[in-house]
This record gives sequence, structure tokens and C-alpha cells, in this order.
Amino acid sequence: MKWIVVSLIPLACSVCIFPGCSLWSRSSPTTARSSAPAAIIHKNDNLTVTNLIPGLTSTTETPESNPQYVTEEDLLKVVNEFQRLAAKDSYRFPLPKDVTGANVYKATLTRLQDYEAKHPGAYGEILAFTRGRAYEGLHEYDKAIAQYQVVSQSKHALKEEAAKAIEILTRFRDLKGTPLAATTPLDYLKSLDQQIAAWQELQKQYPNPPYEALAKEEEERLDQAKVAFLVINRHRIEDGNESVVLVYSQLIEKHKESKHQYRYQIEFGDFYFTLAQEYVAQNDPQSLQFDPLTFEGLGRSALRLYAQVAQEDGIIEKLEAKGKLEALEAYMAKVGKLSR
Amino acid sequence: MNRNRVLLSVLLFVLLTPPVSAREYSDPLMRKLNDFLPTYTPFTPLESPDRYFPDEVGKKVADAIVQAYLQNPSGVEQRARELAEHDSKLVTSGEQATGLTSYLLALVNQPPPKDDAGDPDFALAGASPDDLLQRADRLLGEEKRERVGRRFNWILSTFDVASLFLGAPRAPTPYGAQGIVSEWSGGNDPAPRERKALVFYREFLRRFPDDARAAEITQKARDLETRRKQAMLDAELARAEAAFKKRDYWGANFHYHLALMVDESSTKARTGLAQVEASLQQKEDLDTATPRDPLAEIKQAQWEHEKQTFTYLLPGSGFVKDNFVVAGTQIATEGLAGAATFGALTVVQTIAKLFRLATGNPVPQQQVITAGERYVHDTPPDERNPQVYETLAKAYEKEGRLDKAISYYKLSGEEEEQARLKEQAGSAILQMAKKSEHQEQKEDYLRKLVEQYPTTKAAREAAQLLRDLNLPANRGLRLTKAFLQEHEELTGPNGLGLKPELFDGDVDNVELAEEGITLLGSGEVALQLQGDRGPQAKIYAIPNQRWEQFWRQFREKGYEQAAKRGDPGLALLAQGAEAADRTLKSTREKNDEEGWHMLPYLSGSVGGSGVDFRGTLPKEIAGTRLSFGNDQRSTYVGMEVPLPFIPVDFLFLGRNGLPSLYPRIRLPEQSIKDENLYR
Repeated sequence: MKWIVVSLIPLACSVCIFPGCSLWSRSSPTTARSSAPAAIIHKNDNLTVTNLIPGLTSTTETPESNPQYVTEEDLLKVVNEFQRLAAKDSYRFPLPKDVTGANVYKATLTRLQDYEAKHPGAYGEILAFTRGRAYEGLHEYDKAIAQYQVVSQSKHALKEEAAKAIEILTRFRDLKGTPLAATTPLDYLKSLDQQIAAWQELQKQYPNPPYEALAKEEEERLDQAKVAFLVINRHRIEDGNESVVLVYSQLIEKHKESKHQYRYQIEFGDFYFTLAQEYVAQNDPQSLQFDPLTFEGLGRSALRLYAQVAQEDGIIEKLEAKGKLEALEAYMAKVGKLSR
Repeated sequence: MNRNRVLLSVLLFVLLTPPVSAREYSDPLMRKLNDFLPTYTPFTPLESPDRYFPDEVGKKVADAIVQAYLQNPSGVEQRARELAEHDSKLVTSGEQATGLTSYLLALVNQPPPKDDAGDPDFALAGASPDDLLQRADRLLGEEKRERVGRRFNWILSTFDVASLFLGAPRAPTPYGAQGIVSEWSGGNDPAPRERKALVFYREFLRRFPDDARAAEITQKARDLETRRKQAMLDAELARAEAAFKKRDYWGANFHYHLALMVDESSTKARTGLAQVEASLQQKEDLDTATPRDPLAEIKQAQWEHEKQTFTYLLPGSGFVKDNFVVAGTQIATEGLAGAATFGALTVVQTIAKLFRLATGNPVPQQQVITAGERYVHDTPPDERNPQVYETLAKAYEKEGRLDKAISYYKLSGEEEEQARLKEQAGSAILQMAKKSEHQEQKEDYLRKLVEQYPTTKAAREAAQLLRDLNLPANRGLRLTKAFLQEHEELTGPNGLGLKPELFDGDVDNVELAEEGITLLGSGEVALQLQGDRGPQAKIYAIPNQRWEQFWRQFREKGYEQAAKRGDPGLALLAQGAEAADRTLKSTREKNDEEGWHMLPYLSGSVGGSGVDFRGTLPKEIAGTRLSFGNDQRSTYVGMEVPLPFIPVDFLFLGRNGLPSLYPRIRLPEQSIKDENLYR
């Protein structure tokens, strides 16, 4: 056995000496994922940037913290992460998450609060402007306006930008706050449609990010409200179920680009599943009045909607839809057997 | 009168002001605990925060941020250039650079995350056309490399490079042939990496339809999509056919419809549906109407289980096909001696499987359980055959579901088995309680143990643990002394503000015990202080400012750990996303607990016939695999040797003092993280 130990020693050394060996190349995914400051600039990015800007050396790759500028460093860490994530289209994609997995808007507000406590009085206008951006991302228009006012009333360079934001957000706030005055279901739906048209108008007026996406999200919220209203009141309205099917179809068609499109398909499938269950509750499958074709038609509509989501790749709703398909399969088999 | 009023006010003030030092408690136990060091205060005096005075650097930074908000990248780069020049001057004059330039550049050159698994949408949200194509191509490249590499590795694993160089080439071993046969019969289904690439290609085509590369990408996407559809269609058809064979016509109907959703023109699916329709029209078979043994289904399930167990014991699933190749090649290269080797290897493999069968549950009992439970459900209690209880109890025991097993042993009246299983269940729950990180979870397990298995040995131990757990000083977020020393900011003047002498190792000036501190819910901290009789808990109210400072530091620390190490553990605690009722330990303490220092984790056996150990070196050292021992043939040592610059590893194998070297193409690391979304 001695020779085993003797063989192991040089082998272990060879593993540790070679710089290109898997000792280095096999870094774990967790260690590979890093951000500020060490990985703020990727190796490749750094090369291009340093080539572009004279005077920059490769030392920028791993900046050493200077205690004298910790106030600026802390601020840049917050603003960098916010800027990196917050500019994404919030209509098409879910709200971005920061490195800790938290909603970047909420996380930034907390980090700014901590920053302010740690460095009182530092960069007040920049903090207010960043807060304004975070609040508007969360659709908190009043709070965003209040923050932008801090900047617009100062002599800061962001004064004009803040004033523009105030103007837009005031219109957003006013439209969102407009009450839906209606006494009948039809009036209620009409008034929802009017607000939807107003949001569409705002999208045309402010086609740049982030305001277009915000207005689209508001429009989508109202479309969802229409569906919810009809689902809740479908038994009171004539042809309620047909109306729900119609508005669900419209919602899916209209918001094809939305981050919620797969959710709508699943919910629409759920609605058909509910209709199938209601049909079974009203018509005992073991009785003569049960029509298997009607039941199967409802089940198949649910199946189609769930399957569309389950067959998509790269979406988290896929797993949910797969589970729902299994539940639907079991339910249809059970009722089918009873009905024979 | 006035004097009395003043005295009363002073008295009221004294009574109402919350003390910074130790509190007085009405609970005798608490009072006793806090009698220790009655006048000691662990906190340093509060310091007011520094005021901010910006200099030229600060102004440049502020202006760069403004330019970034105004979407003026050249303005940011200008500031970065100025700051870089300033840094150069500082360095030339021997001073420290500001260290801010890279942050400024990052304002305009936001790097995409290297790993988008944490937020898959992010990859699509902000990606440029080049970025999307690069990601897709990288995934396709990796998949291709892995497929080809896997096939070559099976072949390469049969060639001993060392023996070739030593001038005594050995015959290739036949085991590679088995893998090659399996690998090439694997089908053309797109792998998760390819399906992910397709998502990127589609996103590219959706967002950049006018790009010059669109035609080429359309073709690539179409090819991948065809393969994806075919795979989905085959899967649904296979499910439908399997259901049809089992006479589950409703299941078959369901999956044939799903197959038609994938491909409306599938004739197989349409034919299948017609068959299902026809079968549903037929009357039930006569054999289902004739009287049957009520336990027949259970017996059938048991028979199936025995068959599966037998199949498991055989070497390889495609026994005949695969082993014909192996045995054939072995005999062809080594003659009858080769057949003997093959036979010996098969025996060794079977013995190992028998061992796993005796000690674990490699073949699941689910079919037996399902059949048994259906029988119990469908048969009234007084008509049931009592044998079923024992069958179910044994099946559940094998599956590790001890509570169900106990309940069935109870029904079958086997007292001894019940007692044995209760002891086993008690120990298992106690182990789970000990392993639980969170106090609430620990408490749940311990309570369950004490309530459900009160007569077991484990329950007696659990009762004591439960008492300790409920002491006020043990309820909250615990931070060991070593953890606090590793993260000094948390206890320093900008954190909790604990006196430094608590950590200096000198017991005479009051010392914190290794157990550290516990942050209690109500703005209090329990300090475990070293006393004559071991650590003693003492609870102090924390001044509001200190409390806030601590959590601020904690949040910052959590954010840093997530950003630099990808470990969001502390951040989740700080954000309240995880219950703050666990113990935070230093890296060293964690290593001690997990048994990792410098030695690799080894598994294996020492028996009369030989020694066999295998393991993996810690990631920090190399992360390579190694094994050593001796078998019937000789003593051996094996180790994976990675080579620099080339994507090839070598497997070093030493046997009888002679070295062998088998090359192996280094394959892409692991599978993609969100693989379940691409299946």
C-alpha cells in the first residue's frame, strides 16, 4: 500500500500546480456569479472599455475600496444595481430582482434609506430622483411625484428631468384616481372601456420607457378587472358564461406580449374546468340527462389551454400547467367512467 | 407641594424610562439569570455619524450619475476619464486611488449577468441581438460538445495511453462498447440546452426581424422546432399507447388528444383515437364480471415488484443487448479468460445490488401500496383479509413511511413490530430535529416526537431539548462569537456597539462565550457571558439607534454576500424572507460541523476480501475524483488528473505498480439550472 501514498502525493501536486487545471476552471456557479465591485466590469468588457478610454488601466478590474470615498462608493453600488435592472420593459417582463432575489424597486428604497442613515445629508437630490424612479416602477405615483418635487424645486442638474416626470406622473395619478361612476353592469363596463382608451392615449403621448410600459400595465389591469367583474357576476348577467369566454379571449389576444399571458391562459383553462365541474354538478354523470359530448367539449377546451402553456419552453407557468393537465386527466377519466 | 410634584415627576421619569442596562424581571428564573454581573453594560457610548463634505471627486461622481440618468453615456465616460487621470496622479504621488472609476464605467456598460438562472427573464429582457445569438450558440455548442464528447469518452476510456508509451499496448476494455451502444440508440430528441437555445432564437426573431442574420436564424429555429415537436408528439403517443395497453381508455383518449394538439396531421394519433372510441363502445370484458380473488390485484402487484427486483439485480437494463456486446468483445479480445472476468464482474455487481436491496429500497413498493389501499378502501372492515394489513405495513416500512406502517401493524395486532418501529420513528424524528436549522421547525419536530411516541428513548431526550429551546435566551437569531468576530462591523461602533473587550479572550474584563449572542424579537439581546459555571445568559435592552444600526449593517452584509459569493442566506434573513430563528456560524465552525477541512469526503468499505475507498477532493483544493483500495486482482489507486490549456482530463490508474492513463474529454459542467422548464 505504500506505493499508493507515494503515487498520490505527486498527483495531488500536479493537480494544484497547473494553472489551467480544473482546480481553477471548475469554479462553482455560486463563486462565478458575482457583481460589484470585483465583477462590475467583465474581463472582456474591461478590455474594450479600457481600450476606448485613454488613461484607464486594467487596475479598474478589482478596485480597492478607499475609506475616504466610501460615501460615493456606497451610492454608486446602489445606483449601479438599480440602473442595471430597472430599465427593463415591465409590461413584457416581471419586475427585475436584484442579487438577493428581491424586487429591485423595493430593495433600492430600503438601500437608499440605509444609505441616508449611514451618510446623512449626502447627495440628497440624487437619492430623491432614484427614489422617484423606484416609486414610479411600483406604480406609486403620489410618492414618486413627492420625490421628484424635491429635485425639481432645487437647482440640481436633474431638475428638468424631474419636472417632466412630475408632469407625466400627475396625469397618470389623476387617471388612475378617476372613480368609476356606474349604476348598472353595462355602465360599469363602459366606464372601464373609457379608462382603457384614456390609457391607450397616454401610451401614444409618452412612447418612451418607462412610461409606455407603465401605461400598458395600467391598461392591462383594467382589462383584467373587466374579466374579473364578468366572472363574479356571470350568473346575474344574461349569457354570462359566454361573455366571460369572450373577454378572456380578448384579453389573451390583446396582451400577447404581456408577462401575464401564460397566467391568463391557465386561468381561462381553469374557467373551462369550473364549467365542466358545474355541468357535472347539475347533471349527474350516471343519469340519462348527462351529455358526454358537452362535458368532453368543456374538458377539451381546458385541455387545449393548459396544453398550450405546458408545451411552451422556458416559462415557470409550464410546471403549473403540467400539474393542471394531470388533474384534468384524472377528473375526465373519473367522470367518463361514471357516465358509461 | 411643588417639591413633591418635582419628586413625583423624577420618580415617574425613572420608572418609565427604559433602562439601557440589564432589566429587572418578575420571573424568578429570569432574575436568577440576570443576577450575574448586575452593573455591567456591554455597550460602548453612542457616536454621532460623520457629516458629509463632498470634494471634487464627489462632484464628479454625482455628475456621472446625473449623466447616466440623462442617458448620456459620453458624459459618464468623460467623468470616468477625468477620475482615472486623477487616480493616476494619486498613485504617482504615492497615495491611494479613489477606487471609483470602475463603478462609473459600470453606469454605462451594464454587464449582463454571467448566470441568468436566478432570473431567467433577465436574459431576454435586456439582451442585445448579438447577446441573444451568443447565448443560443453557446448552448448549442455545449450540447454538441457534450454529445460528441460523451461518445468519444466511451471509446477513449478503453485506451490506455500509458501502456502505449511504455511500448506494451493493452487490448481495449470492452465496457466502452456498452456505453456506445446505449448512447447511439438514444434518439434525436432535443436536449434542454437546445430547447433553451430555441427560446433565444425565437426572441431574436421576434425583436429583430429585420436583422441581416434573420433568415439563417429562422432556418435554425425551424429545425429545432421540428425536432422539439416530434419529441413532444412521440412522448404523448407513447403515453397514450401505454394507457391503451393497460385498458385505461380515458387516459389514452386524453393523450391522443394532446398528441393531436402538437401535430394535427398525426395519423398515429387519429388511428389511436379511433381505436379508443371503438374500445369504449364495447361492453366490459366478461372476465371482469366473473368472481375474482379479492387479493388478486395485491398479489399481482407483489409479483410485479418481485419481477422488478429481479430485473434490478441483473447487470444493466438492456441485459441481453448490452451484455452480449460486452461479453462478446471481452471473449473476442481475451478469450475464455475474458469470459471469466466478465462473469466475475457481473457477480461483484450483483452482490453490491443485493446489499443495496437488503439495506435500502431501490425498487419502489408503490404498486403494492396502491393495490393494498384500494382493497382496504373498497372492502368493508369485517370482510377484509387481515393479511393485507401486514403486506401494507411491510410495504410502507420499506418506503420509510413509518407512521403508516405502525398503523397497519396495529391493525394486524403485531405488538413487537409496533414497538420496534416506534423506536425507529422516534430516532428518525429526533435526528431531523437536530438537523433543523430553524428553532420553530426544531420545536415542531420535538413536539411531534413527544406527543406521538412518548414512550420511546428519543422522546426522553427530546423533552430535555424542548425545555432548553424554550428558554427566553435561546429564542431568536443566534450569532456565535466566531461569526461575530468574522463580521466585526456587526458588533462595532456602527453596529451593535458591543465593547471590544468582550472579544479579547480576557475573562477578567468580561468575555463573551463561544455561544455568542441571541437577538430577541423585542429589541433585546441575550449575551452568553463566560462565568465560573460556564456560559451564563444575560439579557439587555438595545438602544433603538443601535438596533437600527445593527440591522442596517446586517442588510449591507447580506447584500455583499449575495453579490460576491452568490449566497443570499443573510439577505433573506435581513429582508424577513426567512424566519430569524436560527444560528449563524462562522465559516470555520460550519466546516468543522460538516467534517470538511482539508481531507476529502471518502466513502467505501473495509472487508475481509479487500479495501475500497472513493471520494472527491474538496472544491477548494481541486474537486477531482480519486479512489484507492485493493480487489481480487491487485492493489490500485485512481485519480482524475486535469491538464491545463487542453480540454482533456486523464484518469490515472495504478495497478500492480504499473501506471495506466485513460484520456477523457472534459464535458460542459453539469446541466442547465432551469432544465425542468425545457423538458
